[in-house]
Amino acid sequence: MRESLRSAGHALQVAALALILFAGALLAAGESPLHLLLALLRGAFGSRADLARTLAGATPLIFTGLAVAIPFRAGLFNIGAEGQMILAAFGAGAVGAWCTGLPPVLLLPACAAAALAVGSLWAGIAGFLRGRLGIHEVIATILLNFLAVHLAAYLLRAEGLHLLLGQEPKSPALPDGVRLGEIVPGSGVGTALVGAVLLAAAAEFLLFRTRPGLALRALGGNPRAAEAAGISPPRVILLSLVLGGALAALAGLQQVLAVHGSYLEGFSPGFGFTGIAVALLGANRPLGVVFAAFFFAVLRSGAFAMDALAGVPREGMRLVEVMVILLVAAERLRSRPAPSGDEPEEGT
Amino acid sequence: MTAPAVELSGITKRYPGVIANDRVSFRARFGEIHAVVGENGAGKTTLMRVLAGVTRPDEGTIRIDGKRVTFRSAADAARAGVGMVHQHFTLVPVFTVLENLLLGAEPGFLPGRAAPPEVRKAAERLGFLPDLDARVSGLTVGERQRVEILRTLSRGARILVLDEPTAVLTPAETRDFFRTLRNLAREGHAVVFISHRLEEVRAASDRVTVMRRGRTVATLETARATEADLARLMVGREVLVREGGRERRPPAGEPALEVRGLDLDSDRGLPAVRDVSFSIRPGEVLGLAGVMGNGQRELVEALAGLRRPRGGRILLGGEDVTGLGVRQRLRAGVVFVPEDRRDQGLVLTLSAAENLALGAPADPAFRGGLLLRREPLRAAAARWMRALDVRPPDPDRPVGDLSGGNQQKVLLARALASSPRVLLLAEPCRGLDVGAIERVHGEIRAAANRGAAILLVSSDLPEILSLSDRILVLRRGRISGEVKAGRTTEEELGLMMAGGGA
Ligand SMILES: Nc1ncnc2c1ncn2[C@@H]1O[C@H](COP(=O)(O)OP(=O)(O)OP(=O)(O)O)[C@@H](O)[C@H]1O
Ligand SMILES: [Mg+2]
Repeated sequence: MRESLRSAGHALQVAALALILFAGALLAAGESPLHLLLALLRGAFGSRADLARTLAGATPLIFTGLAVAIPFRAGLFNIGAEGQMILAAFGAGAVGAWCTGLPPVLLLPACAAAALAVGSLWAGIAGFLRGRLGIHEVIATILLNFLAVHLAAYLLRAEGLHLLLGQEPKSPALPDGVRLGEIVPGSGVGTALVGAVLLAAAAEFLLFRTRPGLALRALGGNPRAAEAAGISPPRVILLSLVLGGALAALAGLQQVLAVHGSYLEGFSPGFGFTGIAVALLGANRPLGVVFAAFFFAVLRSGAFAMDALAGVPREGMRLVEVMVILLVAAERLRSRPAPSGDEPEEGT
Repeated sequence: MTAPAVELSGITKRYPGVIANDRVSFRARFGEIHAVVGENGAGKTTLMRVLAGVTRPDEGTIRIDGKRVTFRSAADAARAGVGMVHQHFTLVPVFTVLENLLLGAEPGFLPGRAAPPEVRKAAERLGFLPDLDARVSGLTVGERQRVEILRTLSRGARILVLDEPTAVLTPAETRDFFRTLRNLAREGHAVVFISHRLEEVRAASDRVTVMRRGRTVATLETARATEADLARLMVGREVLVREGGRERRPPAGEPALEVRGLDLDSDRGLPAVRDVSFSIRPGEVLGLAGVMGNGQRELVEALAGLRRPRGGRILLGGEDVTGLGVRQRLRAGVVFVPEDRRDQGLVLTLSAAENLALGAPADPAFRGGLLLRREPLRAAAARWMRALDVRPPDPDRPVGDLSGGNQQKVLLARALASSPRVLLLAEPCRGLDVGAIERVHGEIRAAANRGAAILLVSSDLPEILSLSDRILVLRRGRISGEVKAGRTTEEELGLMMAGGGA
């Protein structure tokens, strides 16, 4: 717990530093940073609707942040959260469209099961390739991302599947009963957001209080020692990527059930990739991820207002995201903790 | 009188909860070989890292050749003429020797195949010019170390710092190594090395500095100090050679471990072990002597379940376990202490308690289902850490924060906590101080007395002789001889290892 607080504090520093750098860049460009910051905050928190948008925006990022952070603890870089999420969302949308006969109490779990199955399968392919065949997961997940986008596009249009009804590239709308609503209407606090935060707590528990979590962290810390202690690397690799895929799937599910009400092609502005930044900023601690997801949600949500109020293009906020990634990476390189032992360096 | 090569004064380095160096002073001269000794965790490595710019001290000053300096990095120290050779080598195995020598050197291009002048000059001083086109992965440990020293010298180091350089060397390599150091001292370099082996400190150094609990307690002319003097200074009181804990119960019963006609390949697919057979009875310590690299590593890995045999069988209590993996063998009571704690041994980022839980030893506190039962786990870990005198005995601290010797104790604690039926020990006392070795030897005997069958692989012949009931000599992957421990000498064993004798 103390450690998660520390990681949150640390994330706050990095985030602040990134904002300061951004402000500096604005100053240099002759803009007023203060004016801008106020616009950003107003955009993110100014009205009830703004706040709701911010909170809703954090939800998928918590899922994708966790989808990256958990494999990272096992020493695996899951670049594939985006593809896992897209294909899972498609799975949920398709099942929703095909099983309209089911009552909502059954249809909703069916959609969820479809998403989870597709997401974890998709990530599991990368896990199998890495664990059994030694193909690097970065390469595998990048390729699987491309494949996922095209596969979903193809299946959406495939004649026999009867998914594309109108002009728009999306699956038929789901009945109201299977939509995920808000707990307090108009607040942005959806069932999914509450679920995401609870899930982060569960992930924290899994990683630090259970044996599989220990095996996962051991593999990430020193695979050879883990193996010599009786841990099967292929199994743990598969487990951690499957978990990552399932978490990414939940981001997709949330988008289908709570936001669009169907599978909408191109629904993601890159939640899966932002998940990488979220995991980094959150120091790969589940609770840190929750914090980092909110931070990025504020940036994204405020960016609209900055664009409108201060005339700074939205891409400016992308810049801040990139700066966060660079700062975290630079810091890791710099402060590689040198354990006493008898040796110069050891990354963590 | 010229200024000392190195003058450290008032060096203080604190880590959370520990003062690693407490107002330490240290001086070394050009032209001398200067040994640094002290118990595990005394602060030797920390002090040397401060000197080499790897660690920044909280307080204190560094003077090199009389000039006050501040090092922000190892590169700063290198520019001032200080170079450190770490115990774990930093060479890139897939590169050639020349590529490694040039890696990170000042000019940013590779000047063809010839050795640049600074490398040639350094090689002359060292009295050793390696095959520059050889791949580092194919070199012996001793050769790698000399390449490492050569690299440091070719960067202009006049003050050479070595952290436990002899821990990984064979006795023959150690002799060569000290001859090399002597050459360097004669050429006017200052050579500082850390060691736990007092007899080699006595034989090879001009002066010796003793550290105890974060402070330097004395610097002596080696010629005027006996090993007993040094031991007393290290511990801070008279050291009694304990004769207790030496009793051994005679081995009894059917073999706990049996190996029949084992054939193993090395990582590169070359024959490593051929047609090896032996057995160990409960309560027996079987020593495996041999020059490192003669198949020992492959053999223990195969017994631990980490390497698939090409042929032959492994039996545990009469049952064939040849096809079983590490986990199943662990369950059957086969416990493995690898030779390199940082490679196959510990996960340095995890705490001591977590490392102990990882091996799933038989201590009930470490077992249990899916959940980690934290409190019993921490308590048991702390108990085992105290039993082996790990300092500090804090189960929650990442193991990587411990000193090298204390890491080794955690690794041994894990093995002993498992109440093993078969204990595979590879270089169990590497990096331990004299007192810790006594203690660990006592624990090994106790484990044997409790009925464990123990395979002891060690390049330290006195250790093998004092612990084993029987000794096998492994040479080029074959068993070249077997002797009863009481009936042989170091000389005879040495001959057998080299290929003479029975
Ligand atoms: N990075 C670190 N973080 C926390 N504590 C550290 C760190 N490095 C060293 N220490 C502590 O400082 C003390 C001195 O450690 P050091 O490695 O210098 O000992 P040493 O004399 O080299 O011991 P050994 O003979 O076991 O190698 C130890 O208590 C160790 O736990
Ligand atoms: Mg040390």
